[in-house]
Amino acid sequence: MAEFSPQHIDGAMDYLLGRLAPVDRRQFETRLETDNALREYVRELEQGVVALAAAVPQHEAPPMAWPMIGGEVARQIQRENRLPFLRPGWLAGGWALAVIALVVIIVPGIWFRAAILSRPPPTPSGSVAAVATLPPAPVPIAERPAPALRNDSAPDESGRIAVLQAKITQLEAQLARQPAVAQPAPAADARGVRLMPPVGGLPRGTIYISPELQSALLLAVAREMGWTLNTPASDAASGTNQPAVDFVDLNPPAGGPAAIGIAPAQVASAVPASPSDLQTSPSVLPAAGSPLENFSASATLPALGASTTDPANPGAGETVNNGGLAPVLALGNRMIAAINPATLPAGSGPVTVWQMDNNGNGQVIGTVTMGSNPTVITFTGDASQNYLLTAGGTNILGQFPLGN
Amino acid sequence: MELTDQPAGRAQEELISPTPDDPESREDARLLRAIAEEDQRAVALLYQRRSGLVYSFLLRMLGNRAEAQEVLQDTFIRLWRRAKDYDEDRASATAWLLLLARGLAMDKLRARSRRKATMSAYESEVSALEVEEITGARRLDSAELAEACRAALNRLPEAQSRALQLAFLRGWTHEEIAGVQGEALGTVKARIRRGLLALRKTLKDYYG
Repeated sequence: MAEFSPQHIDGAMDYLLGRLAPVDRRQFETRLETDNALREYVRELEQGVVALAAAVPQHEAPPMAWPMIGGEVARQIQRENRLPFLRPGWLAGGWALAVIALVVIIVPGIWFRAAILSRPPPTPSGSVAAVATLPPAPVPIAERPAPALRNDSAPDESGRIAVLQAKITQLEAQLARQPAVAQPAPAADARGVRLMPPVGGLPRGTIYISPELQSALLLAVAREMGWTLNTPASDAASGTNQPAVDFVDLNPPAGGPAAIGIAPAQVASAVPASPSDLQTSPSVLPAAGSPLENFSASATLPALGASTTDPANPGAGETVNNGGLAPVLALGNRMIAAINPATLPAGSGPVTVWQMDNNGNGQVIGTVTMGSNPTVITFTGDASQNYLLTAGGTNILGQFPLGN
Repeated sequence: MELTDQPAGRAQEELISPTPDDPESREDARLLRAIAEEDQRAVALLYQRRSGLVYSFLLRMLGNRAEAQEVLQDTFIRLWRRAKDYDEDRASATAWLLLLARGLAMDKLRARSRRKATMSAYESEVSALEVEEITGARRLDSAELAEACRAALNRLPEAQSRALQLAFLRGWTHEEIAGVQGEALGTVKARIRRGLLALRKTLKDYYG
């Protein structure tokens, strides 16, 4: 029988576990085709391990093992939510590149409009980190600079845009080559696009953002920046301003897009709250029907899919978000929440946005009757407050700190 | 009579053919695919289904509850990141999970000390493997299968069972086992192969 080296023995493990690089895998598979001994060894490993595991005396896993695992997984998810470009799926799907491209375009766009047009063009930054340290824009986002990519842009802007586009291409290439490294955005930079984490301690669940909501959020950012081709007026006339996404603005800033999407029955509609709408906090009931309800009870697993935070007593429990219930982006002082009505508990009623004070009292910012499309709710935020999104007043979709 | 180095005919064919079509493993595969899509619930479900099997295997490998728990945790945390590496054309999901755990346990074994394949090490390993832990043992959900596998393992000739367990549970190479047993490499390989075939037949019979 032909012998194979320890390299091949390790290679067999790595091959079965899918850890070989493509080139090494191809080499290994080529050898597998011709080497009976190696093929036997691979099969031996795969089958032997199952047979032996079934044959040894069986024990229950220690009860403390799962909380450690669940907590670490939740921490990893939270880290990735904070830095979504660390998520391999985002890279694969191009979302990380899309977001970075947006940021790379947004920030210089503001910069150009407000300050740089009268000065020599800036040297394009060399990395994402450098982009994040650009000097503060002198014009607040709420003043809505004209879109940097519109056709009516100043002619001398096109050259700068070309430079930026080249830079984006370069960044994409760098990202494709390099392992993702965390580059936390400066906390003090309130203008950056941030994914708001839910408040509370660890462990907690994930904010999984479905592709539909990712699209909705990116469209919303573009809309906030005034980049959408449709005008708010035409949006209002058609009932929805983007395919399959409804936009509702609860308190549009002066000159910004107005609340839209009121007319057709299937389109979300909004009722902004009056200033006197100070109410007591909604009562909160845990969402029923978690697929892991039974398991979580026996293994201290967070009840995924359930909302357990009592806004009157925020320390008492965790808000666990999953299934894309309500990811929120902060763009300056503008909050952008995306909700997929399909993920809401059946019959849960309209979505209410609350501003919470430190005593757990909530003030309604607005109420949105959901249509059938993914819906983006935007509102102007205050860095000193917490926000709460509920469905029907009983199910918490998300609770978001603006200040951190 | 032991098989020769180069098994021929049905024996070899059985060894190379795919793992039995196990409905449990198919469900594991489905969960692994869900985990690759970052479904947190799938990790919990897979843990619920397989933590006992993995822990028992690790306990047998490491002989130490604390280390077995530690490696069990590492396995499922690693799994969260690596589930997308899983390819069902190469291994069953159960095998993939157990191999992941085995690799981490092997690292632990290597870290304990630099093992030398001496006779005393062999005897020590063999005596450790013969300790049958009864306390805390439980029956698998598929208790019949576990019982059948255990019986099959016990029915193996002693040398065969030892070689099999040393190779899989302690990470000894075939050469090392042959060296301490004072036997030809081919004989050891054949023993391991026959032991695997016996266990595999048990699995196959169980799943029809």
